[in-house]
Formats: sequence, C-alpha cells, structure tokens
Amino acid sequence: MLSGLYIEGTTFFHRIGPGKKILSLVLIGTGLFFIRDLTIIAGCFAVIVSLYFTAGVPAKIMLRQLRPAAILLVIIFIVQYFSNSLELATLIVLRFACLILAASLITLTTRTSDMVEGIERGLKPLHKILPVERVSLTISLCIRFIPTIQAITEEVKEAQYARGLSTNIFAIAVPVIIRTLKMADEISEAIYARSFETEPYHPDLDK
Amino acid sequence: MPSLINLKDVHFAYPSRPSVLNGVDLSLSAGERLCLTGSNGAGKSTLFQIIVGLLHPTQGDVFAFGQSRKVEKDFHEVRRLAGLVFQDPDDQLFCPTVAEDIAFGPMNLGKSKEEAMAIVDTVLQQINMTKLKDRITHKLSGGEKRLVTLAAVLAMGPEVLLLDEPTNAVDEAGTERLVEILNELPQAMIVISHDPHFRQKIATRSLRLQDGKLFDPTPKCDHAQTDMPEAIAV
Ligand SMILES: Nc1ncnc2c1ncn2[C@@H]1O[C@H](COP(=O)(O)OP(=O)(O)OP(=O)(O)O)[C@@H](O)[C@H]1O
Ligand SMILES: [Mg+2]
Repeated sequence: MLSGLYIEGTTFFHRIGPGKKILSLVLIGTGLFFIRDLTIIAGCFAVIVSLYFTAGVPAKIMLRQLRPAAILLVIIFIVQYFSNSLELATLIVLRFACLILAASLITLTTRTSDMVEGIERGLKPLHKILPVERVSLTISLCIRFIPTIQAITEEVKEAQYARGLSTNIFAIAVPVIIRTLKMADEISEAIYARSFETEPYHPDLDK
Repeated sequence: MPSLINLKDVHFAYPSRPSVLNGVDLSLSAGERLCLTGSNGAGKSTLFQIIVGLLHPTQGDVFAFGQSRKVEKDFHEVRRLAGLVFQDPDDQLFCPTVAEDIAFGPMNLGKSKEEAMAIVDTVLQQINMTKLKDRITHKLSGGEKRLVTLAAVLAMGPEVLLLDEPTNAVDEAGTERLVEILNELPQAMIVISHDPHFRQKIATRSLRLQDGKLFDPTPKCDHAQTDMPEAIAV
C-alpha cells in the first residue's frame, strides 16, 4: 500500500531530490517506449534491478512490486506471443516491468512528505493559475486515505458476511460510499480546525 | 478577568431537524478546566463546532478572545487560538505519518519545516509518546490515535483547548497520564467527558448540557457530594 512503502535508508538513491527522481522517471518512461531492441531493453532491466541493490531494497520487496501487475503481464505476453512473436512479447513485457520497477523504486526510496513537497516545488511557478498548496494537500490526502478506504471496504464486507450476506457489489458500495463521504466531511472540518488557509501567523506583526 | 470564550443565548438546529441548542450561555476564564457532560446526542460536540465556527448559531452570539465572532473570517483567529480535538480520532489524522500530522498545524501558522519538527519532538515528549513519531497514522491503535490528535493540537500552541471525550479508547495508564498532562497544562480548557472519575480529577468547574441548555449540576448533587468520600472509598 502506498503509504507503507517507504524503506528507510541513506543510500545515494535516498538522497537524490524528489524532483529529480520524478523528472528522471518521466524521461526514462518516455525513453523506454522508443527502444525496440530486445537486448537494450534487457540491459535496461538489468540496470534497474541493480539499482534496487544499490538502494538497499531487498529482492523480496522488489518482486512484490511486480505482483499486482503479474497477471496483466502474463496476459500481454500470451496475446503478443500468439499475435506477433516471442521477441516482441518479451520486449513489451520487459518494458512494462522496467517502468513498474522504476516507478516503485522512487516510491520506495522517497518519503511521501518529500515527494509531495517536491511536487509542490515543481508546481510553484504555476501558483498564479493553480492553488499549489491545495493541490499538494490533495495528493497527500489521497496517499493517506487510499488504504483507509480499502480498510473500510474490508470492514463492510466482513460485517455483511457476519450477517449472512454474500458478495453483492451494490450492498458493499453503498455503505462504503456513505462512510467515505461522511469521513471526507469530518476530515475537511479537522483540516480547517488546524488553521489551513488562514493567514500565516506572524507574531511580530500581530503586536 | 475577561472571559476567553463567551456564548450568549446560542441556539442551533441542523437543517430540517429539531433544535439541538436552545439558549446556551457559557463563559470560560483563564486557567479554568471546565467539564461538560450530557447524554448522547445532547449537542456537546455541536457546541464545540459552534465555538470554532465550523457551524454557525441560528440565534445568539459567540465572543472569543475579546471579540464578537460572526463570519468565517472572524473564526480564523479563533481556530488558531483554540485547539479543538474532535471526538472521532479516525478522521483527524490526515497526514501519512504521525510527525507530518503534528507538523501540519504549526506549518500552517507559518513555521518552517525545521521549527515544526522541533515542535513535533517537544509535544511528543510532553505526552510521553516519542516512540510514535514515525508511525503511519492509520495503523495506530484507537488510544494512540487519541493521544496523537491531542499532540497535533498542542503543537499549535493554543490558548484554549477544546477536548471532545479525550479518554475515549484510552487505557487506564493512558488516562492517568492524560490527567497529569491536562492538570499541568497552563491553558484554559473545556473538556467533554462521560467519565465521572476523570472529570472529578481534572475539573475546576462542571456543567451539564440538557434540553439544549447548560446547567450547573452541583446544587442538585449537594448531599451526593458530601457523601462522596465514603461512597468511592472502595
Ligand atoms: N451533521 C449532522 N446533521 C444532522 N444532525 C446531526 C449532525 N451532527 C449531529 N447531529 C444530531 O445533533 C444532535 C447532537 O449531536 P452531537 O454530536 O452534538 O451530540 P453529543 O452531545 O456530542 O453526543 P455524544 O455524547 O454521543 O457524542 C444529535 O441528535 C445528532 O444526531
Ligand atoms: Mg459528541
């Protein structure tokens, strides 16, 4: 889950600024789509995997990053294999794996707060047309509450099983949405109660 | 001494619902620890939201920190000076980690990241919970969440604390610690609590919210109070 990802460390990779990491991810991601040579992609894959070792991320955690996409990758491989060739199928799957691993490496080695701050700094030049603080608060709220919404969904499911209901998408969706909306209401009150968007406090000016 | 918070004849009803508050008068002076009780649904939490301007009274006036407060803008200063700890801690910790959550308020008040982090350490020490600093907020236990929400509010250096059932989900040791913390704090506070022992340990004054009004419960319990020492000497 997103917010639980960060792995403590002081490696070279942990110390690069979040802005630079995000920018290089964008460049690498775009670059990967121009590579049509299997050996080069395989080389990229090897480089990214070795970066995991440099960053001190255990192999187990690296493999876990690929797990959610594994089924998709298998399907892509099979479809490409039958409609095109083994080479193309391998190329495409490796390319996706590179992308997923590169993106995960960044989330694994960057604190969410630093990431959000990096995004905030990147957006600063746009402050005239964009409420930058709100955007970055929104991003960090998403990161914080995705696992909570997952947990709510689990709770609702369990409560319904306990009362003998079988899986029914509507029966689950309705309480989840209601609870999420109520939570959103209360969170926004809590945020305002902690002085979000009030004028910054200047003790010397106040006197 | 002028009162820090003063409500005059406050009325309130949620849209298309019977009225919750029917003429509440309340005043809080410096150094007071005022405890509020009242049955479930009596309107205690609603009253707190009115004090910090998250809800507005349908009738009556809110005075806080020497001024009449009416519109949203008036309440910005009230929220800075009055720290509200909500009843439900789940929806109050909205940053990924404890440290970030506690730093949120101070940073909104214009503190730098370093200053905010120093405040985080101070308040966590104050509540004896330094070990929670780097924990993920949504994975804390209910009682730990409560204590962190208190820390998050203390971090803003409020002049008044508004605590909505602070002992809820806190274990005995935590409650004892909380009693100590609250009694040591210099701030005036209003504390909602259903726990009579807790109230007795911290309150300098108590009020009961009933039928939309605040009552002084002492006269009624006069003889009960004289009997108290034996009654609880178990
Ligand atoms: N957002 C809302 N919309 C409509 N009615 C509400 C809302 N919030 C609370 N109420 C109702 O207003 C009344 C007072 O609620 P409030 O939360 O202030 O009670 P309380 O005294 O804090 O109770 P408790 O001791 O259970 O916390 C209740 O009847 C409640 O159902
Ligand atoms: Mg309440």
